[in-house]
Amino acid sequence: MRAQRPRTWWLLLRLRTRIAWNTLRTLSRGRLLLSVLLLALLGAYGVQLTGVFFHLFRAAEDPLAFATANFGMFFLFGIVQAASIAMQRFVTDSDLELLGALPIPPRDLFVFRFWGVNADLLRLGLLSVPFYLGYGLALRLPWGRWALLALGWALVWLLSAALGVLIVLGVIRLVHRRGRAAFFRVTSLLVVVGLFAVLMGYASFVRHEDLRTLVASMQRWSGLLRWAPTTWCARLAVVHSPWQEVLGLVVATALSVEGAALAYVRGFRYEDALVERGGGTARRRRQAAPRPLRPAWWAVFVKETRTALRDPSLLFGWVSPIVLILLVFYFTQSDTAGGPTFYLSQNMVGFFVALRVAFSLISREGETFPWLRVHLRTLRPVIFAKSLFASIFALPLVLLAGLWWSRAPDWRLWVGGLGIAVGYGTFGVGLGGLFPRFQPGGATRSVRLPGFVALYTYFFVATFGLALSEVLKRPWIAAFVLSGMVLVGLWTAARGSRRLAAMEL
Amino acid sequence: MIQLVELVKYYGRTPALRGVNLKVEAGELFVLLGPNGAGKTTLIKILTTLLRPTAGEAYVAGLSVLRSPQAVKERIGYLPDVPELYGKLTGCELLEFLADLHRVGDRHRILELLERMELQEAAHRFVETYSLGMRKKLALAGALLHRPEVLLLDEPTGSLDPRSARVVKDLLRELCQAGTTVFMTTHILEVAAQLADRVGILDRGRLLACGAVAELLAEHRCASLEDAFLALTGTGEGPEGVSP
Repeated sequence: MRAQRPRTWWLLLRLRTRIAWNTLRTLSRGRLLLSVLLLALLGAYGVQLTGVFFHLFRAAEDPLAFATANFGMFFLFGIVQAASIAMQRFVTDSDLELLGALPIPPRDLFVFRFWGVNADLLRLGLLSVPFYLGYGLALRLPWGRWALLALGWALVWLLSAALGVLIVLGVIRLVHRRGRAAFFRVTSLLVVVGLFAVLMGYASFVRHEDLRTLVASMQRWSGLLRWAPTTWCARLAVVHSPWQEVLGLVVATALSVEGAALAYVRGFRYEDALVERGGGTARRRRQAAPRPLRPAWWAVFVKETRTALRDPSLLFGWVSPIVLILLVFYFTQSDTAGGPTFYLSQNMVGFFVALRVAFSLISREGETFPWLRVHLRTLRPVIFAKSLFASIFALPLVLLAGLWWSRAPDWRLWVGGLGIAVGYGTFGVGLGGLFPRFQPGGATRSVRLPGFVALYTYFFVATFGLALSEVLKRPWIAAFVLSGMVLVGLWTAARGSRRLAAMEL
Repeated sequence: MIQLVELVKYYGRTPALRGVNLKVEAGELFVLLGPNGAGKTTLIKILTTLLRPTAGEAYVAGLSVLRSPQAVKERIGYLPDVPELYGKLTGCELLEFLADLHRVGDRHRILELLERMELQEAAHRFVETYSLGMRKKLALAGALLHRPEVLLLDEPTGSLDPRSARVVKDLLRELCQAGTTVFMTTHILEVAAQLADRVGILDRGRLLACGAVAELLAEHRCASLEDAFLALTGTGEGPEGVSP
């Protein structure tokens, strides 16, 4: 059995690589373009934030304490996020049954799923890179110390993944199935909200150059996080002989990974992963009671809201590019940036809502559209509900983008924000209907290029028109552009609903 | 080849199997019938070692599913009711992965099974483009790759077109003649009547009857297997929430 182990590892790794490669090579040009755009955005964010943290670490009286607080915060986020990912990888992955019935040693199965957790966690890990880079640059580390810091970073993320997995394995044995699902939904949502709240907080501090307050507050935090292994990671860069810290991190990580492996091998049962069917007494009573009929659009709206709230990774994927773009704007613009920037940032938010949220709302419906088509006379209520959802999703983010640039918020902020949110929400959903990703028979394909071209055109025309109204100080141009955006959005949504209704499915 | 001894399974406080005793001989084709929620899938999952019985014992190929789960997995081929396969692999790539796991070095075996399942034309398409019936045939090919001693099949002919169902039925007969033990569940009584050496009727976790079709009909004085099934189980559905 022992001799077989590396071979099964290798097979499972090859399987995952093959699936990733197949996914990559079947991406359309539009999706590739979008991926490159997002990578560029992430790169810009990284450069900006590294610069910010370089200055913050330079300004800090005690960079070690400051680093401890920052690294510790990411470590805590990492554990909770890893638990959320592990909940999917270990408990609800669709291949649980397939692999569970194959003669794969449980330890190899653990390694396979553990690396899956790490691969997913890497996204959050990358967000922390600017913190580490800023720290290292501020301390002018030599190459050897950089290598140690990188090793520390990798070990800390492995450690948080192992601890997250351990928590999940404990929770699925101890907590009732429905209870644990709710528990992980809530914690994952809190992580998403918490992480972005912290990043926004940094942005706000940096923008108003109130560094001393920030540094003081972070140093208070560092006192609370002194127990975390990230303290060793921060010390790697500054202490004279850091081998004790390296050893501490290696041992803590190895023990945690081994602990998680043992918990899986000895304690994990397939039936722990089963989702309970049938409801409790309360649910049965609810089902038996007569219920008011919902109109179709409201039923679809409620369904979309429930899906989004119950899938934190979906929410994360929707919100993160928007928040990143806001942060990049915030860091790159000066206080004197005027109205055109105000509209540009709002339109960028709308653009990403259309691209990420609205397109996805349509493409996820591939399998249910035939059913909806049979049961509804027209798809207009469905498109209306999805447009409404996308617009409501966009509104707070668009308003947030506007508020950052408005010293004295006036009607332009509220009316403009509403117009932009509704415009992009309806236009995005309409484009999803006009150029759907799914094909007859239920298969899906990548987002089609004409949809991208239309969206880019909409974005450039809207931004240019609104910016022009600011430059020329002609509010009527803004009113004209905004009403045009909403009208074009509504028209596209109507066209999209007709196109879907006429499509052979 | 398969032996169940006072097998009991509870999900929380809900009973799924209540003291099932059964013996299936080598080379036999045994069909388990039962209404929804009777415990058929639970029983098959215990035999695959995916689930652990609450009490009692189950043996496959002479090995205890509790004490030697790895050895049991090496000897069985399993087809779930709804096979969850990797959509971003082609049919051929999926079978290659399974062949590697089972240490099947003979690549001709993959081609042979693809051809037998009439999937050779779709072999290089992604599994996500397959219909449910095609996925089922691909999963069955995967279950047969390593020539298992025992085949555990959950609804193997469900969602197959008549031609594909015939292919599967012929294949199962051949396998039994070659000495493979087949243990399957189905809702399609005609399939059971055509194929089974013996059938068992499971309801609410209890094995109500077991024997050759002719014996069952004679014992319960029924003209057809459907009549016998309804006489034994009634027309009502089984308890909810039992089957995973």
